[in-house]
Amino acid sequence: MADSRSKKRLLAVTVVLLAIIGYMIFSSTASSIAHHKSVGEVISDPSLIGKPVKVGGMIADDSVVRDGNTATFKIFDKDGQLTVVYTGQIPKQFGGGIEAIVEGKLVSKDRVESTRMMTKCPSKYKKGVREGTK
Amino acid sequence: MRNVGSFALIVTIVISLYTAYSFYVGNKVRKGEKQQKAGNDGIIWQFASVTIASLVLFVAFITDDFSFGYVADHSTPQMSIFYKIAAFWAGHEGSLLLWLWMLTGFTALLAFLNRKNDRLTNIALYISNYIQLFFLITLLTATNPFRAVELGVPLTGVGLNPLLMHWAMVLHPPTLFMGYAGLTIPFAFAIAALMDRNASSDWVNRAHKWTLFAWFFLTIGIFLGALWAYVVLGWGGYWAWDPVENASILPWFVATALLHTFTMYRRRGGMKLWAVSLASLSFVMCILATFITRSGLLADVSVHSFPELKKDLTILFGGLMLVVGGLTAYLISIRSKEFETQEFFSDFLSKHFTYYLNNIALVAFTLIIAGATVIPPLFKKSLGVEFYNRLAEPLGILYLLLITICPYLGWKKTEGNNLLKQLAFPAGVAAIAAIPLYLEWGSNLIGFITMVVAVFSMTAILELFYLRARARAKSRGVGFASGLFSIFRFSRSQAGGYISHLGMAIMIFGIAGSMLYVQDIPASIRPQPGEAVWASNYEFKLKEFRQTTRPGQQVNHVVFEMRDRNDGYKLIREIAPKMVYHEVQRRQVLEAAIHYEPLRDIFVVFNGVDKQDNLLLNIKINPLISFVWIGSFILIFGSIIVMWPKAVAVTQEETAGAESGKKPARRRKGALAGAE
Repeated sequence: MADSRSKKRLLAVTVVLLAIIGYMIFSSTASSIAHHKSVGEVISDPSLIGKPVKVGGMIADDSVVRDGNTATFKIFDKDGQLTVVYTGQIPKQFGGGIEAIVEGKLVSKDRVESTRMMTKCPSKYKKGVREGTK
Repeated sequence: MRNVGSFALIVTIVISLYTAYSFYVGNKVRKGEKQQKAGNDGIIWQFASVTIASLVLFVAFITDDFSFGYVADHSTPQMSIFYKIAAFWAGHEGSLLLWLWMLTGFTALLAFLNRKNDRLTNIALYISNYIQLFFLITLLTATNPFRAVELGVPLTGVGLNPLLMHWAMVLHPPTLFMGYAGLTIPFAFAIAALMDRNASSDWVNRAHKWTLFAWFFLTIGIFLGALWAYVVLGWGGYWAWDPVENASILPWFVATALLHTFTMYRRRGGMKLWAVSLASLSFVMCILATFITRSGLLADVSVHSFPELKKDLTILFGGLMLVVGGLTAYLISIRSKEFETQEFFSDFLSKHFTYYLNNIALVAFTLIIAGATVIPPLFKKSLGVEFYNRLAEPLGILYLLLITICPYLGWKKTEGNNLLKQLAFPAGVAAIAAIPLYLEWGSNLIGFITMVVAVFSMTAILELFYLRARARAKSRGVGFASGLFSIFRFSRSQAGGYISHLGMAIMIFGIAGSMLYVQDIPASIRPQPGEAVWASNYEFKLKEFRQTTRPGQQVNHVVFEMRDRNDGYKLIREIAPKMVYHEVQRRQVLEAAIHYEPLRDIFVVFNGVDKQDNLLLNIKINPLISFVWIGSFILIFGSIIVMWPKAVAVTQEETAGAESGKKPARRRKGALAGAE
């Protein structure tokens, strides 16, 4: 029943739309992709200095120092530790023994400046907030 | 007791196999009523035995039976009974059992109501029975809720995460699972129609209510999740494109597309292949969503979550998605002739085109979000919030325009001048509103544009009600009020649909405000009474800083007097954010204090103390958030109107019109001049 002319017009519009969306995806992917690294990978790879990283590790006990809107603390995993200088709202659950994932720039071999952080649930609840909730 | 639970599941498998056999034989032969009857009974018996299994687990939670490994992992005797019940669905084992229980409940209802031994229903039950079988096998092999505790029987379990102890978080998972399990039914009917070569709207008529029902629960579930995040977790954040949030929105998008496609299918005989594909895709997305949230895959978009990935669940769920996708593709390929559309798109200014665009848009959103959530973590990467926002901002505006204009169009074509005349009023309102909106919200261009478009959209939808009511009043020779009433009485799916669109427009207005204009005001003050912080028109004057103790916890209260600077420093209220320090775990939990206003919410967070003993504060102002909640209510209310049983007389009138082919076109044209 479909006449072929309408079909072609519809197809053409679809292709154009998808091409525009495709271009939007392509152009926003490059700038918002973050590379996940472990603490060990970050401190052992000097080529990462000056680059954006997303790194997760356990917050070291009693390492948190607050100064105004900035919190400085250490995160570690089995391969080492690094210092995080975080500026912004600290997450609801925070403190030693909590797993934190920080996004930011590696400014020196073992120092990350971050403006975005999320914390996982305390390890006591081993299932974690994510798996445990939704 | 654990054995009773496992045994009930094994019995269910046996009944399920018997059901499959009965339906297989009964649906094949001509006189298979007896076997079909047996199949229907089998479905009901499965519900009974899964109910027993679920009750066993409920009782285990209520009685603190820590010989259940699952109970020990998620409950503890100190929790209130409310949260003990909620712990049922705190992990994948209980969640999948709940999924199955709801699904068996739905199919049992379908079987119970199947008095006439309806052929499509029998095939649909045959299909859903396989899904039930899949869940039964998954539960017994990969994720048994009745497993034993690992080492001896502990005296106390681990308990729920305190953050989850909130009423919205208790209701959120089961509501979503109602939606997921509910969307199995339209999928089963779509496959049934394909298998039976029945391209009439029979299957749509049977599946429509189920789809609406599932959509209703999905919407509420997503709403509850956002509300919880807003109040408990995010201090004003309610949507962060987190993988679990993304997972819940995927089936919602596809189900929304499916509901609209059903309208096209029923009224115009169009988009038939779309309908069966979307029914299948929505089910696949439910499986994907369950998988994302329950398998440990990308549990935290963190490198650390990968070792936790449950391989067996991955294989089972991945396999199911592939089988469903493959089966649908195969059936569609061999039935594409029968399911060819009866009325095809011919003009861009038509509902045919906008419905098509709607499907393209919603499926594109679904695939983008699914891809962006699942694919990058496989390469140890992830896409940030910016990625989603950059796409969502322009596409959201365009989508809102689409759903606003669509109802004004005729099915096949629209008279351009007439359309412009009708849209002139909302455009004028939006243009006038743009001036104050610009003065208040002009600082962010995309936010400002969104708000103007939302005003256009709200006005256009209200005008639509006005035009429809006037046309009805005229044609029936009654007053305007009874015309309006008759829309709600006799055209429920239209009225409810428009109401939902209105909800969307209001919600998007709120989203623009509460996402793009949030103010963060960090401050630090000396810990002396009388010290003050200013934010917006308020002064927060420190009244006292005190510590109290609860067992194992130290609570720091910072009490402020909140005064209005524009009103002679009048005392509004006391506001007291808290920081709770858990001594054993040596960690802090922040509890914000929230001041709610009609047009904005103000969060006061106490972040701790710095080296110089200054109190660190953060004051957050979230504008227009109430529009998000009100919009959501209206959206949900719209679906209730559609679900409400229809008045019979008009149903017949409409079906008669739709089937006679030529008549509706003429009727539409007549209506076009008046209301459309």
